[in-house]
Amino acid sequence: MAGYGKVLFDPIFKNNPIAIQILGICSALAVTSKLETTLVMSLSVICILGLSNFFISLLRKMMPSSIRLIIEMTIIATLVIIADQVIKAYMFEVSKQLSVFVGLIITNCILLGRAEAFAVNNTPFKSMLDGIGNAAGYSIVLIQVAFARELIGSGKLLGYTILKPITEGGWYTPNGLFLLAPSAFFLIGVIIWAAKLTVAKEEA
Amino acid sequence: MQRESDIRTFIIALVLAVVCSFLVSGAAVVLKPMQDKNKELDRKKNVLIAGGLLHADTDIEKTFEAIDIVFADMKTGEKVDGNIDDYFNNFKKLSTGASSIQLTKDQDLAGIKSIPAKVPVFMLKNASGRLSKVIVPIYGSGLWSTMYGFLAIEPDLNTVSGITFYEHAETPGLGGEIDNPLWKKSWVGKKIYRGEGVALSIVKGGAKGDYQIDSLSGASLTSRGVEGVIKFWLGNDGFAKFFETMKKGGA
Repeated sequence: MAGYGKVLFDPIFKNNPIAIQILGICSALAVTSKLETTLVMSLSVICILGLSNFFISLLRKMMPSSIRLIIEMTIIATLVIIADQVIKAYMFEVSKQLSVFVGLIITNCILLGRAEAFAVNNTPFKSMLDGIGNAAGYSIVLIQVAFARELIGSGKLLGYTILKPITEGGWYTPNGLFLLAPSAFFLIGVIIWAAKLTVAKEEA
Repeated sequence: MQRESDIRTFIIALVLAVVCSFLVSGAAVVLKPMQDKNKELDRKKNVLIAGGLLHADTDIEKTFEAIDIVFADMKTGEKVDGNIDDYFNNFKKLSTGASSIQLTKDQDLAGIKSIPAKVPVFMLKNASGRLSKVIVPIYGSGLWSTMYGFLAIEPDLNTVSGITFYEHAETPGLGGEIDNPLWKKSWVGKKIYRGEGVALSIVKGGAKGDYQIDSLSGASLTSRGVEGVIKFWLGNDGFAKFFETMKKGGA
């Protein structure tokens, strides 16, 4: 059983997909200007990556190698479209803000990366844990970035005012840079640096 | 059966495609009523936003019901009857089908090729029953997508009182900034007509006076699209004729 725990928790801290594997950066820049959209995005990725790894692993012995990648992409795309439809039906406001980015989970390198690196060689349950673990690792970085961006960029968290901006009679001057994508570059850069530093220390 | 035989590959691909398409279409069909309801509510909400009627505690359905909806005949500018739910539910058929008005290349400033023969106009009244705002639907091509929105105009039919887009797929952060509240605010109070035709325009950097609006930085093509939308829908092939009728007291 120890193996399963390692599969689930390693990608969250030790082998984080964003901080260590440097995968899935693109969407991390786009959806992190607000905490709410980030949470929905994270949840979708956790569900989709868990399930896609599960199904791909389930089919791993049947897949003809000549169309392996196509099968993997079809499964991922199907799950993403269903998730997109569900979000549109139940969380309309959020879906408008996420716009194309839920659809773009299809091209998130973490999904195909985990399918190829793990699911095709492991049992379905273990693959699902690996998917959930990697998606959780991705989510943790995203949430940290979104937390900083929403707080510094607009003085709010989840839409509630924490630092009252000057425009509403408070004292805080929101830093507009943090609402733009480049700020996520800086934040993720710092996170990657910190993660590499810790991992290097552990290994030494 | 051999793992790599052509026929086996084909069968697996076929089965997977059928299963996946079944799942996708199933999800789309099951969830459609709910998505449509969301869209309708969102549309109503945006009419209220354009008119400046939406506050935190506004009951959208109730406020919306108090609005007078009339239809403008786009050919003659006369006021005609119509059904608002029909208009939005069958929008595609009405805007491109047999009953639609085809636009020539010179007319088609918004890049939409054809428009519905009848278009709804929302008339807002204040407490004393006088006309307080006229809200018209507008749409046209941006960089990637067709942008759908509403424009609210003061009763003088020459002053912008608000603009909002409720559906578009422009680049988030660049063209997507047509949703930016500050940019939308910059429209308020601008004048539309001067002499013949629409004078309101979108300019790069340093908009001055009553007839200019700053374009969105990094989104020249989206900005140009929005300008086309405004020029078309407020021009002679858009609502200008209907506004003339209104001024004469015909609507």
